[in-house]
Amino acid sequence: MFFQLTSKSLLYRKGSVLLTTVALSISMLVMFGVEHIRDQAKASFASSVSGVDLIVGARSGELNLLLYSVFRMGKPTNNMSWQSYLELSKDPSVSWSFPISLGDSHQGYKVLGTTTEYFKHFSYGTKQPLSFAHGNPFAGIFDIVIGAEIARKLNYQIGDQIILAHGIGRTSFTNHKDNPFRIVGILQATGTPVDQTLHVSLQGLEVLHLPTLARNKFSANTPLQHIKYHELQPKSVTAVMVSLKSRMKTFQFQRKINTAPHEPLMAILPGVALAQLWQTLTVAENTLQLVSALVIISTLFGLSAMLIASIRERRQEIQLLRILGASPFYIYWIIEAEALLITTISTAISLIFLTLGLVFSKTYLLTQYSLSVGVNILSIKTLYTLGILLFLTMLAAFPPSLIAFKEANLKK
Amino acid sequence: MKNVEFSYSISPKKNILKIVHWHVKQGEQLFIHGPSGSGKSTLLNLICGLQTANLGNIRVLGKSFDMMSTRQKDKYRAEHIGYIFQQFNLIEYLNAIDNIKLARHFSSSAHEADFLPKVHALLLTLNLTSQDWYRPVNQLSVGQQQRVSIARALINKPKLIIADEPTSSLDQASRDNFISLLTSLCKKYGSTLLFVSHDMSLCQHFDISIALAQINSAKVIN
Repeated sequence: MFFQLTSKSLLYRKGSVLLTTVALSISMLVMFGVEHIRDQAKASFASSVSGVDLIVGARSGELNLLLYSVFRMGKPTNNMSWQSYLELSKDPSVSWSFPISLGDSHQGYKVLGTTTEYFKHFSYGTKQPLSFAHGNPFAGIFDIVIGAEIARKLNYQIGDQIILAHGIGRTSFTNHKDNPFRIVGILQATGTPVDQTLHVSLQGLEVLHLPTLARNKFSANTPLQHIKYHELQPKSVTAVMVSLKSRMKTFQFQRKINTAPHEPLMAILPGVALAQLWQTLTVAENTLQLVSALVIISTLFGLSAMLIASIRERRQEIQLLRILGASPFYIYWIIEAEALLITTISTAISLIFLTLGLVFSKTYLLTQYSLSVGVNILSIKTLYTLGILLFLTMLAAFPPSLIAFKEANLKK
Repeated sequence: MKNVEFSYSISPKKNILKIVHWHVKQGEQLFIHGPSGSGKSTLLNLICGLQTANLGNIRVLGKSFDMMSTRQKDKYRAEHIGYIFQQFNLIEYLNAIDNIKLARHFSSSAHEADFLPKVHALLLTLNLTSQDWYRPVNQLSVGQQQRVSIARALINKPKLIIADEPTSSLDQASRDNFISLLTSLCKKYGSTLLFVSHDMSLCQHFDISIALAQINSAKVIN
């Protein structure tokens, strides 16, 4: 009966209740949306690279190098020479290293030239290595390994042939039509930019940019090990991922790279650069949080005002309930329950719309911002936020509930 | 009531009610009249236990309110007192059945299995057809609303029915019908009826009628 009274009372005053519910739903949608995307972005960024102690590239900004080499975002950095890569890879402090070369694309997805060491050593999340859903690493010059997202979106399978385009834009006028690549491997989904990357050998990238005559020497069946070392040796690469034998030597090695005399290079620590990246975003993040909190608070004030106005119309109802045996506390809780019901409905509406919004914008966020956003918005944090919201609702409903309580307690 | 005095806390020296001794026998149908502002509603609130007297003792159906907590008074009222309001005071967003259920909700017999058949039987006795039972009460005629309010007051078979100017907005024919229906049902259930109105012409319908001024020795200034 209690629930019937509260729900039917709200339905009876549907005009004002609907407006309040819509206002609250919108403000909650903004708040939950900002929180979710922020958390997802943070988790996605933090898990994008793991086990790499240093990223080495041509001297530019730390964030620029991190964004371009790991997230394939931002402006392309200058290349570093192949010679420098060879020197640092032979350094006794280095456990392993692999070069990466960016610059080409396929239907807007970035092509990454690397060596087979990449598949052995690159890891993400909590040092999870890359694994193949189908196929194997590239072994031929025109072999290509694609990320899970690309395979799913473009419906590619092992054996399919694809044409790469020059440049990293979604639309390119220079396609390498004469040398299609054959898909030999599809990686398991990682939830990182790897899922949206096509991986080819450095030699494969080199041969694409050779003059036609020189290019014709190589066929799709040419194994990588049959290519003479000097024939397709790259002159430069975008960056090098480095793991050291001892982490104690990280700063020492970083200094050594940063002060290398023959080429202006820089080495960045991915973890530090990521923290720096979030540091720059903190102001925007805090502002968004503050704005959504203020919107929620102002809407709760609106809810409170709406309930206070309704008490004036409900004096007879309160009197009736008292005569029938309802205690003043029962009446107090009816008003509180009405407020909580509005908040609960608003929460449900906002979560449904947010989920739908994420379902429809997921691809856009992924392709435009390389941001892998999960659709599941329910988490401990969401429940915690919901708990705070319900508490704030009870606070907002306190004044109208108290007025109703006093109304129910006849004067002596 | 014995030596009952009541005044509002904002003007504690001005007694609204001062009743030395007054009692009503069980099963009586009593008409109490008095002008507006004479303290009729205050008297009813004291009898219901909604307000507490400053002095004196009030016993309703043999129980003294002095010894009861607010919670006990609420429970006692829910179980033993039926109330009919001036404007019938039905909750507009509930249908007839739910309005009657509400009276049952606060009593100890709230979960009786045969409650609905009892409501249906009572509504049929009051000539309210089944097609009107689940309609919101604001879609019912005034006459139908009257009957729902009577059903709500009687559903718990209370020993005391209080009617606070329930006929003030009715024409004479509806008023006569309402009173005869109410008095006959009170007789049927053996309930005591306290009917309060400023309209003295209604006294013809009751066995006993008194003016509030006869029992209230306080001087009330309107």
